[in-house]
Amino acid sequence: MDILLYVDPSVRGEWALAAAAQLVPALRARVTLLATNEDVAAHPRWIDDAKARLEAAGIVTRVAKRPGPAERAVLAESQSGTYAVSIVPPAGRRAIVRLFKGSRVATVVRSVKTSVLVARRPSAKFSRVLVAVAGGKHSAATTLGAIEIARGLGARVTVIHIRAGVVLPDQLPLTERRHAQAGPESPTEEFDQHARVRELLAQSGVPHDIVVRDGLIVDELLSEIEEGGHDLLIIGAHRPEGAPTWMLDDVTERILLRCPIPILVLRPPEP
Amino acid sequence: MNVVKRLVALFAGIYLIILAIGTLGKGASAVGSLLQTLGVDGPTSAVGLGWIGAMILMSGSPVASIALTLLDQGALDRFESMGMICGSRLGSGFVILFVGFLHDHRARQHGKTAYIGAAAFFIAAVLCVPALLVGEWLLRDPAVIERLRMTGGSNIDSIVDVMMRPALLLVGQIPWPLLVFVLGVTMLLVAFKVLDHALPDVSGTSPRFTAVSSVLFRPPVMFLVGMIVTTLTLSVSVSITVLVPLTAKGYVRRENLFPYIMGANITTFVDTLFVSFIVKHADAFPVVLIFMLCVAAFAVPLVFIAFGPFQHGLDRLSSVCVRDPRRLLGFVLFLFATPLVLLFAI
Repeated sequence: MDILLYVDPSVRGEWALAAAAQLVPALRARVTLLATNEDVAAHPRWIDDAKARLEAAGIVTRVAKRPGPAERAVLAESQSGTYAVSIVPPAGRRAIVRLFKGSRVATVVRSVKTSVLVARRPSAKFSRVLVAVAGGKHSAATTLGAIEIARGLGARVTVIHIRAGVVLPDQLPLTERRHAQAGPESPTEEFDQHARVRELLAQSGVPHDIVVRDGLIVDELLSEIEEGGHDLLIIGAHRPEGAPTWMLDDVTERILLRCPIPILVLRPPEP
Repeated sequence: MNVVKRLVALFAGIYLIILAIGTLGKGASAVGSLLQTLGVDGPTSAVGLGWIGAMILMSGSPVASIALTLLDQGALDRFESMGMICGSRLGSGFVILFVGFLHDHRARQHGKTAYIGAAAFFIAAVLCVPALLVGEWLLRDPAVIERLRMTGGSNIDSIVDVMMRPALLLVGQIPWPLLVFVLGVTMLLVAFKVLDHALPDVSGTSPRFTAVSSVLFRPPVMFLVGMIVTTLTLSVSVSITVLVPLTAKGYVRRENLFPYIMGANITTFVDTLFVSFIVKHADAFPVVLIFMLCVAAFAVPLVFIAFGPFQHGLDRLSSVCVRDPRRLLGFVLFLFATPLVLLFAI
């Protein structure tokens, strides 16, 4: 497996190196260390030092340089190789700058075809992995990916499902009684997917637990991260069906911008 | 055939609304003295009156229409009329909460439907109370009122008069004004019930919106949908139940629901605007339009700029209020008592 690791000579670049040092051996992968030409020109020895640190940890590493900015470099390099995961640190832009320049990690997650690890400040060891599942048909694939990573890391898996749905009154004064339809995303299917997730976790032998919370998706996820002391968040990336993209809220981006720990956005394999 | 039925229901509903307004006008003299006895004096007590009215009639729209009729008959001034319209919105939010509370109690599922009622009430309160404060301030400026006053409309008036005259002559034979007023209120309720039958069947609609239970729409999208749907349904309550056939098992994502209810709280005044054309008082239209625009002025920045924090606060507040049965009961009783305090104690 090949992993693309983008670094820059900032403290956030250090976060990416530290996250890679834990994740890459767990996945038994090789690393391509990517930097922009501009950063290498400004700090000539820094990329070699970074390579040496990874190799000292037993990670097979090669270096690639591409013209900046970071988003363009990551996209170009990810398209040129067969990478499974891209590791990217956040740019650390504040709200006003982000309004004009956009978010680096959100742009990368949107544009690259690989899974993406957003390398926020990692803990010394990824020992608690939180996996968010929506209860849809992608839940099993996300859980499987998380189990594989947790096994490599020797970590505990917590699967979280957030019930954002509330019950509508089917009749109010001066209205007719109205009946709900049984849709494709009915609670029955949600239950089936949960049963599948439980089955996968039980078969994996990885220490695990399942948490169900009621509330707003982003808020509850952030609360669980804070209360549960999790080190790594894993979420699935899939485009919901049934409505045009411009109408849909980008929940992944909102999580990316507010999550305080590293996040792995797992992309389902291409059909 | 279905279309014909719906068209008949639509025209019958509109006819009944106009007839009800005429009837209310004939019975309003009795209510004027009743309001004096109750001590309705100023916008605060009028808020209490509108709130209680919506609780009794289980809907806000008829109460807003009654507020304009009372303005027309001189029983309320324009400040009190706007206060009563504001109260009608708070009362209708309470009604959704109360129905949800009863539904949960019967179904032994604590707080699941009451949550929507709590959210609907808080949204109405967050939008309508500041809108009332700004609206009352604007109403003090005669230039604003003068600019918004409707001129003309004599053709509409004469058509309406011709259509309504026979029925209103019959109503005029009733010797007790209070009974006439009650008859007018009943007609209004029947009119809104009839209008509900005019709504198209949405169960086989585009899959774009049947996804409200499974995917998250952008808040401005749901805000616009709420505005459009309520322009057709005229009522926040109806707009909420209209979502039911679009969902699997009657669930909707709360992230989709909040902006939808906010949009609904603006265009729910469309029928009140319509009534402001029917009553002949020059201030009726400015009162409704100013209040509607003020609600929109508070709703739009919340949806487009600060929706995240607003949504977070709204969810937390609604969840806290319905968390356990005792607290929910206390919350319902508190909201039940509040308009009584506004009406009698302030």
